[in-house]
Amino acid sequence: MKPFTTQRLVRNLCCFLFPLLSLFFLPAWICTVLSGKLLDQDPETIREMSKGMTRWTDGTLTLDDLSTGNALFDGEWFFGTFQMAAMGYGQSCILGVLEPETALERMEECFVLLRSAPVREFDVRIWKSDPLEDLEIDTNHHVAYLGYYNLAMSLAREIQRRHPEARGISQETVQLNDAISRALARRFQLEHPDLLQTYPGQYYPVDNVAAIASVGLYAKATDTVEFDGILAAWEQSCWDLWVDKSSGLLYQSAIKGRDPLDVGRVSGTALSAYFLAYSHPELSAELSASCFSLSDAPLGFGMLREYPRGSRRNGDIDSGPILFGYGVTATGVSISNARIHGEKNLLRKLLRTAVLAGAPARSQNEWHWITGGSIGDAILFAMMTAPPLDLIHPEEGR
Amino acid sequence: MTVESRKTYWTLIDRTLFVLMLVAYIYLGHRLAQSNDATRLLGRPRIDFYLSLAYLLIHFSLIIPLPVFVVYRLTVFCCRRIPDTDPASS
Repeated sequence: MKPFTTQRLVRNLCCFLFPLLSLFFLPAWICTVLSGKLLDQDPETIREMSKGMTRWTDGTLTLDDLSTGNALFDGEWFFGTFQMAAMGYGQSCILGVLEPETALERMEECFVLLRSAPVREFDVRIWKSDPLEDLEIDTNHHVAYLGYYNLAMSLAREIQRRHPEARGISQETVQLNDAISRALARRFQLEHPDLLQTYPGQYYPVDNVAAIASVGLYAKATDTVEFDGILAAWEQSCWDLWVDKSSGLLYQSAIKGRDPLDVGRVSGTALSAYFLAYSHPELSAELSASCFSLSDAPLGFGMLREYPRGSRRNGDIDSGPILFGYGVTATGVSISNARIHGEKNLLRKLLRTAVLAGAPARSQNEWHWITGGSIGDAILFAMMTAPPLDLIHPEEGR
Repeated sequence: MTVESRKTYWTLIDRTLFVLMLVAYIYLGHRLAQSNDATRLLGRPRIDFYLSLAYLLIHFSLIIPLPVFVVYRLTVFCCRRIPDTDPASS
């Protein structure tokens, strides 16, 4: 056995400390390099993501390709894939990456799929009535299906307003967007200040946010002023009733449209803040700030907690897996809010996490996130292409 | 074979294996990233489960354990070259 020497002690310490220290900066540095183009919203990278999405939105994806183990969740993910894809195409146009005509054509492909019978089947089955045939029946709210679908259509109308020369969306989509926006605004007015139902007897603030944001964006895109009253009233009731005062987060669910059933959670709040950026930017900024206050960066990787600090609860289909308190949905969706509200430092850290956990793969000029499948591809496409607030509301000169 | 030559022999094997592992990692990662199948994984989990698992293992390995292992090996390599000047051992 060799005798103990100072040199040996230093060598052994180095062999232990250097690798340990490298753990704190090397993986983060590698992911920073890999996510560099995402940080700058590199046009070529967005084109690759867009091309990757066309693989899912070309009509070949079927319900059988999704396997959550629950028919309702499969249906929601199937629907969500096309809705988020449409948002991503629209936002790519706002960023100036996709030509307006190309973006609108691809959005229209999504709209056709979204109103197809297999996609809306999940909502029909649980409501026992058709959301598109029930537009005059105000007791059947269908707020999730109508809200999310309408938000993407309102975004297409906004693009059409900015580029009147571009063609792409059909007359059927325009008429449906008009009809759904009016039906939703009327239902909000009738039920105010209560929430609309996602499914019979089930109330989720985030689904209501998607619906109100779709009405707000529609009003802006079509210069409609008659919804100003309900849009303002809804914002006030959201502050008063649906935001948890202690955490600043939006409640996840409610009973009978008024009493919170769950605590404030980041997954729902972050998604709501993203939608509200199109209709209620101030509320969006406040909700985003509440989410950002729950962000941490272990080893340089940005992550957001699903629940307020000190609260330990389990995950569900909305939050995705929760690891050491950090939620997958909360972290992924916050990428859009960090971009929209100019939190570049947080955005850089969140993108590192996206690259580490999403495992991006590029082939044949297509970009896919290996761990996400179709719904992961679509959500991250929408999150990565979220434009800064001054591009969403250029007329306000932010 | 002397003790010294045996040491050199094993060091050579050790480093060759390490370099081979590195090359294999990069090659496999590159091939899988280029593979068309690897991009359709969760949509078709029943078909490509093992391919996705392999891709993810390589992806994570290249980002976290492998760089740290490289630093460890480099540190060991450099430390061995520091001359032992401690009076107690000379």
